[in-house]
Amino acid sequence: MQKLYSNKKYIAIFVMPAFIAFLCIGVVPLFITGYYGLFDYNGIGEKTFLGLKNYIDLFTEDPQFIKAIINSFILAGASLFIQLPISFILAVTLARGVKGEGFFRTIYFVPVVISSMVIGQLFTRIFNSEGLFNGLLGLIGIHTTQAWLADSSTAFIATVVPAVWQSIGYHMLIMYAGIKNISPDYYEAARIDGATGIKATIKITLPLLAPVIKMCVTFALVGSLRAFDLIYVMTGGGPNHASEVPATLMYSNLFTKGVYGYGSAQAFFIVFECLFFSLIINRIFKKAEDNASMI
Amino acid sequence: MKRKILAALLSAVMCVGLLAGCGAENTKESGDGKVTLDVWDIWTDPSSSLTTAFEDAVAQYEEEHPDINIELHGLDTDAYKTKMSTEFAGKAEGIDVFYYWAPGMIRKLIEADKVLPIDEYVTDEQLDRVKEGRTQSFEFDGKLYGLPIDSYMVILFCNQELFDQAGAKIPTTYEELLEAGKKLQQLDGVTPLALGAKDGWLAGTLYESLAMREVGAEKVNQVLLGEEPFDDPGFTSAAEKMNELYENGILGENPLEDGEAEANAKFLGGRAAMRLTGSWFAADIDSSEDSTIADNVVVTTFPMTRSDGATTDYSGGANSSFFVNKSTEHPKEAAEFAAYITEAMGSQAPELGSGFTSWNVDNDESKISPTFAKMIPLFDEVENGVLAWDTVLDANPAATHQEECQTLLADSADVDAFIQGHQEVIGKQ
Repeated sequence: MQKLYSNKKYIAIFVMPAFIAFLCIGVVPLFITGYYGLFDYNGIGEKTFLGLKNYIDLFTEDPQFIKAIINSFILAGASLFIQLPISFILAVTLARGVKGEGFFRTIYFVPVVISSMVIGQLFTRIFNSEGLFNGLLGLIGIHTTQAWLADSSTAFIATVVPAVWQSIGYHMLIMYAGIKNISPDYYEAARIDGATGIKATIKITLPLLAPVIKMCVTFALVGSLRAFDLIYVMTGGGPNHASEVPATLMYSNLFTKGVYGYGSAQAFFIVFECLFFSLIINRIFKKAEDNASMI
Repeated sequence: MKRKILAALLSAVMCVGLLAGCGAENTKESGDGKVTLDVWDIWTDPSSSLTTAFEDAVAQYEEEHPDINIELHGLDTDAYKTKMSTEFAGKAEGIDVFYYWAPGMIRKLIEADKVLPIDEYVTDEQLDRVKEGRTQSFEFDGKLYGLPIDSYMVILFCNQELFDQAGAKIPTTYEELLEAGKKLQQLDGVTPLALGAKDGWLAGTLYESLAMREVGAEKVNQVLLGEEPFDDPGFTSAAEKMNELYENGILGENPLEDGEAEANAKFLGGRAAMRLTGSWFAADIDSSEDSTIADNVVVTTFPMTRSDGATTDYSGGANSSFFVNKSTEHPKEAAEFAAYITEAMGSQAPELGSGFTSWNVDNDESKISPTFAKMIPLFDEVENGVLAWDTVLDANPAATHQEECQTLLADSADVDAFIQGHQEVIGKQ
């Protein structure tokens, strides 16, 4: 059996089915999309070859797309600097063994289980001009009928809130599992040396958690760059394109406006952007990961 | 060695299984020689009388044609449009007969040679039953692609009780609309005119109604067909008026917050005094359980904006039907079914409240719902219709138009940019 596994030919044969499937439904459509991006094409009928024009227009002719990219970066920023720290704090607190650990773990994870469509509908009601949020503001004396999702200055921020809230539990669970994996020996040794509480968290948990944090950062960043569902449900990119992200623009180009070529170029760009940032994150975390594995 | 062979064999089986999965064929003929037609429609709401009527008509057809089996696939309108554009970008294999909008959207499919002309399958006898001039939206290059179901008309639904409370009068001119709106605003918790403009087409409905009054139906149609440029001053003043309605709070404080469903609910719940939408809304008024206002509803056409405008102009017309996929395996059966279901739905349209029929039939007046009955005299008086712009224009200009209309409903509205945005995509370039 050992011999079988070390034979490259058999490895190739065993990998083949999954590889073909991946190629068929992952890689090939990706390049077809990139290829469609080279055309002026309405999805049905004739294609006109444009070269790289669609890809260049994304950045030179389309202020909406630039705005959408900026929005996606804001979302990414909120995920990285608000969502992940909260997840981390919750994970550390829970892993330390508070009373009702299992209960809280489940509660924090609930939003992850709920469909984005449901969350979108929920927050659409909350941010309605007669909704819960304005009601709460009214309780503390701020009486307003601000329609958070219908006003172009607040619509996008109002979609960021549930997006950040939704995934806190997801990252918390990943980090929680990571922390539980760290051997208690380190903490005991640290206690003897006089490092407890926050100091132990910063000096032991954080560095040892580097591979897990890398994963969370990648998920959070890439998830923000290709965000779609919540924003589509809550605002559809409106009003007046204020809450547009690249994926919602792509969707309306492909399926509403029938600008298939240009929409494909946007789709290809989103994939490329996500891959690019995954690589960058890998680079950034390389050293921290090496340190973690050395311990 | 045995193991090696086994392993190789197993992986070969896996590969073959995979390929077989990819190439699975979609055979239509079931064993008993029955023809199965895949029919796509937009009637999904089980509580709607339209859905029931549609399903009954289909069941009856199956009964009359025991060799034909109809497979129904229903989706909500927006999802349906997306589904159709993705399907027709490919081979659209699972579609024989489909509901679609004419003349704008179907034109794109016809130009791409995806739709079957039905001239040879429709009998003269059946054609004679169609009201004169109603097939216009379905003819392209002298070929007939579908038969009309019904016509709709944009109606201003008014809640008389709220008008009385506010001391306002049902508007017949734009000035009266402004005035009534201002009075209605004084009522607590009442939106004078619930537009539902979060859904772009409803923002479009208001602008299109204003433009129809300002510019005239004939001219608007020429512009939409690309025969005339989008430069009539009426288009500008229509945009200004729409913004004026917003600025005066006639459309509520946040018109972009509510979509169609919320706006309908507001009107049906007596929290909105006016609702501007298609005549199909009458069915909701009469049949909806939420409705507390059916008796109070007064229907009228969109108020005149100019004293020299034609009162016979209106927004609406015949704009949807069932079409046949050109690559269907059973063109004859599909075309015959399309013609049948079109007539079946069309001839009972007034009774269902879905629209004004395009067929020469005598409807049972006792079955026509009260609100719908109120609209029939209005429809009898109008002549020149402008269809919803998004059903006439191509997808991209249509979407741009609706987005631009939504921009008029904000403090940041810019009428010049609105006109310019339209000129780039609509009219003679």
